[in-house]
Amino acid sequence: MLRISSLSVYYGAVRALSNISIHIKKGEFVCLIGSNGAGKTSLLNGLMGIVPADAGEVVFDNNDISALPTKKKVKLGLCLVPEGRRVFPDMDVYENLEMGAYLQSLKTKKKQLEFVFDLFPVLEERSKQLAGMLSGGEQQMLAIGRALMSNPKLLLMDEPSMGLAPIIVKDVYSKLTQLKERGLTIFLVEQNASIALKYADRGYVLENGKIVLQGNTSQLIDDNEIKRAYLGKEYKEKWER
Amino acid sequence: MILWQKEEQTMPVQDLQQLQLERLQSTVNRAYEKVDFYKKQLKSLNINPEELKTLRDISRFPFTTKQDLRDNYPYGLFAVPLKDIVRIHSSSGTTGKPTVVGYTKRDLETWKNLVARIMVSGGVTKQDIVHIAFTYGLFTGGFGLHYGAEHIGASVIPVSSGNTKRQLLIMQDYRSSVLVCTPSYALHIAEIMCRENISSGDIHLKFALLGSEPWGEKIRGEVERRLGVIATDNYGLSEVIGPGVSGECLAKNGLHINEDHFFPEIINPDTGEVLPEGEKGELVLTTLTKEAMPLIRYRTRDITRLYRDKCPCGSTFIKMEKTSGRTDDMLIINGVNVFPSQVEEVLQEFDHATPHYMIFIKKKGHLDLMEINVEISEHLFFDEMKKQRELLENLTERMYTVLGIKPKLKLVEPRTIDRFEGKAKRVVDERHE
Repeated sequence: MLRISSLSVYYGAVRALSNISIHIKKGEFVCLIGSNGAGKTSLLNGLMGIVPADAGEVVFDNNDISALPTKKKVKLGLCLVPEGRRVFPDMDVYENLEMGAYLQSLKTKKKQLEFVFDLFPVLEERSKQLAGMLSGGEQQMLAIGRALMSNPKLLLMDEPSMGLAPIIVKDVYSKLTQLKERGLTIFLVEQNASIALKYADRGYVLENGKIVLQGNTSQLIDDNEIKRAYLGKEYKEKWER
Repeated sequence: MILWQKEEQTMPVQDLQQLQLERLQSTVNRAYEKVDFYKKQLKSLNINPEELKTLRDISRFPFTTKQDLRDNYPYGLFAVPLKDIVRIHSSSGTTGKPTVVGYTKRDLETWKNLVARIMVSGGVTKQDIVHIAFTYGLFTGGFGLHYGAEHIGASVIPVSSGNTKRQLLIMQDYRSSVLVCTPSYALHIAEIMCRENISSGDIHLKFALLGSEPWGEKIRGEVERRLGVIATDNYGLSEVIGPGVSGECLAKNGLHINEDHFFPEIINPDTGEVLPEGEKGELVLTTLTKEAMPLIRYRTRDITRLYRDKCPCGSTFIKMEKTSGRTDDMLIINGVNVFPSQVEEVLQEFDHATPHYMIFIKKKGHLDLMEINVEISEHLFFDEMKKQRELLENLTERMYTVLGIKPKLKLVEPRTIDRFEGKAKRVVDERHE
């Protein structure tokens, strides 16, 4: 469904990402994990065209979308849930959701609204409340719901666990699993490796702007190399035990 | 035909190449970050991992050779600390130190799946009783196939090598249905069967998975006829992972390389230049998923050809021809790799042996026999029988330790072996004559 080959992103002379290649198949739940500053957000921004990519190719459903403006990418079915939710705090829940569908027809809007309320009943209950009054977890649900309003084929998420209590994080991820079961393809970047690897099918490990490891999450979950990607080398000599 | 990991093995080539690119990039990134040897090598050549934008860009990277493994003996090429290593294997080196390879837990998972792929493609199912007559121990052959067969769910008999009569008893009574060994040992078994009046109807073999030495269609025909099996070839080398690099399916027309785990290239062995698909040359492999010891462009020294065809087994993986020779002087004797330089090295340890020797490789029945003629020094008089016998015994014992096989040694008088001008030709291989 999505194929990224050798994508690089620079901020001025500073390289944020080098040669990132990732593929996501239809119906998959894929995560990219990495420590703070590894380049996770840069990847999503480069992918959506929020920052320009300096090299590489992005193919979505067999179309080269590398050079398309963000708006067109949304139209094709990509949608990003940004880091820190970014709901519109002074609008109510319903209005927030409507904002997510501003490119869509009335019919799609209605259908998607039903879909979102079905998945997140709490949003229906609070549809008249100001988004700024919601709890962190509810805001995250709203941010996902808002993204779903554009009827995406591929949902991109930036750090869904950020700033949320562990139990709420679990809630968010189980909702994502439900979305996957309903056929949505999901790609998220996450600092919280243990939760992402628990729920996703496949994972990539980003270290200093480069991918160093990848595989099925079942294989990655106990891999000491992941700890090293976060904490650095914990040994001096290879043979110490 | 049945495939063990159908999704991977039947992947469209375009998807496969994307996967290879992803894995190649992370392998090179990791090797650069975690293995001092690669960091130094690439830095000194002014090559940055970032240059690897397409699969073809790998040709800019330098080769890794067996010498590099030796220079970094024992653990220098490991990308993880020893505490993450759960298995160590080793193979004989050209001279001096052997080469050491390590596996993480995840590498062993990968390995057993790759071997399972090859076994399933060669006809093995979980109903089978797999008779493994490879040597267990430091060689990768025995353990590699062992865990692959267990992973399929077959019943594994780890017979190891030797004592052919006992092997036959086990085959008959335990009803072994799959034989795993070298092609020459398979023929040797057939020979003993003939001598013991056992026919192919008395044993229960259906398939034979043969490997670790080159063999041709003639031997296949004979093994299949005399043991009543379907025989397939498989290929691997311990530096890269062991068995599981490639193997034939029941179409018996080329060995599918497990391309999602190894990136193959064919080079001109003299210039190092990459040759186009279909041309014959030396096989070079880059590991794509090895954690413990990633290798970039490892020169296998095996000569073959790569081609992609529409295989009836459904696998889209590229095929390699049966290997047809080496680009170095390594000898394969009953599946054991032997370098003439190892013989030379042993001779240097003995005062009364000279560095003048000749190696003859012969067939004794269907097994290989290595004979070494060694000139003795003039100081050891030919009438000192006791000293001579001692030398012979000690030399044989030492050769066995270093080579891993027991050669037949013969002491010859001084100045009876040809002196060579220029490149010495010390090996006479009479097996294919």
